[in-house]
Amino acid sequence: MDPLFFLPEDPERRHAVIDVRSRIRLAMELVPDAWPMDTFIHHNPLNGLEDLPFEEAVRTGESLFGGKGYPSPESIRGAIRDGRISIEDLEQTFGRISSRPEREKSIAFGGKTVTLANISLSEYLLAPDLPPYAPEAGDPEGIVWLRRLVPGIAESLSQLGKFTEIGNLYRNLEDIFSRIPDGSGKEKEPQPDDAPDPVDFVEKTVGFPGERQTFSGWVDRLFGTEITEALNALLSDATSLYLDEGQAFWAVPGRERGFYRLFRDKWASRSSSVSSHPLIPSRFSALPDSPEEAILKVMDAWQIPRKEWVSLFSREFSALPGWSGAIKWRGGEHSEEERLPFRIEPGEWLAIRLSLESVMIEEVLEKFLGLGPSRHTLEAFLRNHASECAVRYLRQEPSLPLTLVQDIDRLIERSPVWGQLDPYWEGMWERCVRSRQKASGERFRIVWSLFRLCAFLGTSVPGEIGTDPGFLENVREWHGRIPRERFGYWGVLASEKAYRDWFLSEISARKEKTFPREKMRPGDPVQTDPSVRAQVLFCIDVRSEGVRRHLEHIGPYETAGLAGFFGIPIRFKGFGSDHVQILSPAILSPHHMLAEIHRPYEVGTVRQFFRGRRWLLWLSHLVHEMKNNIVTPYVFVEAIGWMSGLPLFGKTFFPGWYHRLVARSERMFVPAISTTIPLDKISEKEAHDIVLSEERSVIRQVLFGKFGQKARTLPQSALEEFRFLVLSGTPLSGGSHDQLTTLGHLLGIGREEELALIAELREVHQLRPKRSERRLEELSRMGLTHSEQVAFAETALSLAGLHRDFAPLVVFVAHKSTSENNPYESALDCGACGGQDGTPNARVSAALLNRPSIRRALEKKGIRIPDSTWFLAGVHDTTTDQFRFFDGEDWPVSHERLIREFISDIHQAGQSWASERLRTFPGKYQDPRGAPATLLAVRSHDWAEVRPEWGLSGNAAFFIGRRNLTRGIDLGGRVFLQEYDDVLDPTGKILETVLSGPLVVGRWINLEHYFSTVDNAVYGSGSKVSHNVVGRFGVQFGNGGDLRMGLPWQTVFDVRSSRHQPVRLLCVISAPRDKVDQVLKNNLTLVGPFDRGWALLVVMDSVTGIFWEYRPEDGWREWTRDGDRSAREDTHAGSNDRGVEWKA
Amino acid sequence: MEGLKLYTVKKVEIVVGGEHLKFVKTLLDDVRVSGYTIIPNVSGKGHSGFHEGHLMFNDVNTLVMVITVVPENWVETILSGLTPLFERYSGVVFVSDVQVSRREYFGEDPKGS
Repeated sequence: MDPLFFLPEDPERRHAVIDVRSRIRLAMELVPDAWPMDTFIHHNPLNGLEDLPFEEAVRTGESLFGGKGYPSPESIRGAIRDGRISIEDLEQTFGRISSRPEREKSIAFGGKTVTLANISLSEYLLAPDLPPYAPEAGDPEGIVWLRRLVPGIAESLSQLGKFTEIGNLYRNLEDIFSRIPDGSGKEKEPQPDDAPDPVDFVEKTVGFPGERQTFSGWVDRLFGTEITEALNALLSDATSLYLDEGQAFWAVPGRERGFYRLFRDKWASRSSSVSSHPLIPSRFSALPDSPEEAILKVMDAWQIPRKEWVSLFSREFSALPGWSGAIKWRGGEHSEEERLPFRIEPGEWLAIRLSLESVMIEEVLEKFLGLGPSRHTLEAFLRNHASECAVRYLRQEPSLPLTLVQDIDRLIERSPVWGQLDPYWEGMWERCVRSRQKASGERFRIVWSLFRLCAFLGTSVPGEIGTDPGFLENVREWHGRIPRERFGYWGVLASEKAYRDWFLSEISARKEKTFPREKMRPGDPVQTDPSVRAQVLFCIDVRSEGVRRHLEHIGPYETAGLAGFFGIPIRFKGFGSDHVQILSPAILSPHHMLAEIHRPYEVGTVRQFFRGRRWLLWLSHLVHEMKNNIVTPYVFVEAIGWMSGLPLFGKTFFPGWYHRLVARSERMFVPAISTTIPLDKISEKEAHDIVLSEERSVIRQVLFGKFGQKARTLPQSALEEFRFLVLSGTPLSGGSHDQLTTLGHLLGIGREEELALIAELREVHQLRPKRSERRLEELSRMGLTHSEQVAFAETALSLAGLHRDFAPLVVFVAHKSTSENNPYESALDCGACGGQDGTPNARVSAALLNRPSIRRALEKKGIRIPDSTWFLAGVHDTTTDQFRFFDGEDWPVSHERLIREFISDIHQAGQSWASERLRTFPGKYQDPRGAPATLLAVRSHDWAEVRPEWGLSGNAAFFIGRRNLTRGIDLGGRVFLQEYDDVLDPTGKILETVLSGPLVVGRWINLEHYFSTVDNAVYGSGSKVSHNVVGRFGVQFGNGGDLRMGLPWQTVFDVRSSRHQPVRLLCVISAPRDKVDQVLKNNLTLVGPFDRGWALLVVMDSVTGIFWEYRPEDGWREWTRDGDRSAREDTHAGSNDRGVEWKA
Repeated sequence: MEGLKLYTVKKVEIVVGGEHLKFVKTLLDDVRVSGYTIIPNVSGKGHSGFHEGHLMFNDVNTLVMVITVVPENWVETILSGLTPLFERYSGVVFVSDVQVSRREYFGEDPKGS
């Protein structure tokens, strides 16, 4: 039951409240969830829009969030210059963005032939475009105006790597200008009564508040106010205060009242920070108790039609997508209740925002228009004074000529209140129209087009201009058909084509060696290939590829990739920790729980471990308290302030040494403990015993804390009696003076004290029956049944494509990262494990497969693991490329030498990969002195390092197939590699699992990197240097503002250029095409993302060896090495209508 | 079965994508229905295509069915809450008559609110 939500009795009100709550929830769908940063999940910032086709979603994203969705022409020019894309790539992908791709006309142009593609290219790649407004007078011809744009063209050319003397450009411009006469062809002079209707402009362009823009946005644009900014600042502050999870030493009081009530009351008081708006306190004190009623009141006052509410609400949320995302996440299924005891509903947040907004805009409307906020009255008024509205709106247009701007400003000064000087405004409007019409006059457009084309082709002015009227006709027609709004997308298509051609060529070269394939059948007798020493299973993560490549080179090793949780999604409690980690992909909610406990022989050390940890915790808490208390810092700094010099200088100048020193000191107090992860289920009796002993130990600790030595000597029976009483939950009362329990009597405390003690144990330490029940339930969920164990073991092997031919050693290598002072640390950890260290999954997988009982069960399923095979678990630190291996206590003597050799080999492979990687970091790493290991270790401990590793930056493709097909290719750490053998998958179930699981994760990672690269300011989080951790779960840029989502600048950009190339994920599947078709047809959610263009699909038919590219618009097209001119087209009944209609 | 009186109430069945389960649950909680039943991993075919029921590593992209029983005058409230959802996303809702013996258990106020 939701204590914050009241349902009115009156049925009409009830409908209204439920309806508005539904609409709020829908509006939230567009905002991406914002996971807390300690479990950073890569996700698509537009994931609320993934049901739309890609281009449409990008447009909607721009409208909602203000973010660009495509790489800038400047970055494309850079890519061309660096050779990552070629002009041919652009020419060959032009067909996909033009509206009539069939046979295009080509015409002669100064010795070359040009088509619509060329002229489009020249417009795309050479900036600037013609400004939409032309100067009014003083340059009747306009040539001066055009000349001013030429340096921009020269700059673009140099960015492309084509250099030309600027003098030539000017001459060409003059030449072309003189050849195209004024009034040539069908151009007509702009007539006054041709002027576009200002009412039309107001309705279409300016618009009204509602589904296309928020009220504050609309007011800001028309009246030059900054209401949206003020709202954002206020709401950001309020939300960060409310959601704080312990970062702040002094938290805001009163959070239990709920967000809405807390801030309504706070801001209703005259002394609050918003008193700069005198109306707010009085309005806020009149707000209703229910946030939904508050929202309904505002919507009523504004007269916004109900069908526009969802759009309007989503725009309000999108103004602060970070905070809205955080609120959304807290309302979702996956949030843990323990995270924050104070709930917040999106409706509350929206109610506060709308109430503030309504006060602020009413003030402005009253001042300038003398009107209230009702949309009807505003629409009527503005239609009556359309010219004034249109001109004031246009005032913000950057290319408006200066003379016009000055006059408009003067007019604005003379009419502070609207609606007074209509005739003057009408005059201004006409001037704007004329300026615009002049700029869009055909002569300028044609001249500029031709000039750019010449500049791009590098030709001198061709003779056809001015002599051949048919030529001009063509150019004119083309000019109208240039698909300008798809230019951005064009750049992406070309980049994708360039990579696809390279990748598929590389695979193609290798497939010669592996075709025709030997047909393997499951169940064939097992023969261990004697030459393969070990099969090493990595996560599909792109960073594994480098190590795998080197390892395969060093020795007789086979590697395979599968999702880093190895098919075993679990909730996990580390040793000595209360916190439960969720080690699975974010789209899954694991049911099973496992815990790490100490090994039996470590009993003695365990006590020291916990004691030492308590001590260290107490010490750090003490330091934290002293820093944040009011008085102690003065003393603290004076007396022992110098001690903080040690970490300061140590961490800054000697990070590696300092880290080792700290680690060693910690070890003195907190010893290392050998642990294991029990796999079996706990019996009911065992569970009871565990709960009992936990409760007893809590009681003992509390008693010891209060009564010291006396508590030690208490007999077991007294303790048990006491525990029973506490946990009975029965209410107790004072009254008589006798103690309730033997324990009380033994301790010599009075009845009152006893009662207080019991109360404390119940309230503070949570010793209640409910808690016991929950704990019992939790324990009963721990562990795996035998059949579950077998299922997991089988899945792990299936995903690894490993059913036969087992080597003597099979290694599961999880991965994690190490960095210092890095709020994004979790982003570098294993995504398949929910942004955590994947070690437990590796250990569990290996342990399961080493069990004889499991092996026997697997044999019945046709998977025979020879006795001579041992499974090993390890972890790869992707920052330092070091490896660690676990559960050494269990390693059999027979494999010791093999394991040692393997460990040595993989370390060597790691170092080779590390040397490759080091050279990609800017600065001194270009010429590294010292072993890669040391350099990388130092980087990982350096608290000033903004880029401990590149992580997943650069990811471009996801390969699903056998390793043989990619072995030996240097993939540059850019490809996810998932092992897949379609022979082992007759039903297609494994393929379905991969496409619905790991591929989804890969796609999210790819899209996050994509959007953080194309618009880091909106979809990314800006530069790390200015980040501040807020509330312990996120970052802000600077000292306030929205919670920042996405990746920081340093992750996707190098100093010189972008490290990550914005392309959509290229998914390559090696399997028979029909099988892939079947799997896709069976599940809408698998083919949807490809149909809507969120990822690209290529199938390499494993039977015929032909590559098929999936095009949403026309089905399967064969890919050949010679480019897009496909010899064969197989039109597959391609599903084209999967997207849903919706307008933003 | 003597003396057993059956009352007619309404059964509402909703099939939506797994990612909207939370929406439906919250809506039904808002309306304060007496309870609901969730059938997960439902497969089926609709206007847009076929949905497979059980995906091993994905809880979100499957279909789910929610069933609840309510007094007649609550149906409109539920449907008004669902309308905005179906304006954008796919799914279906069916309302049918069903009989129960414990009318109060399913939310019917004996006074008939």
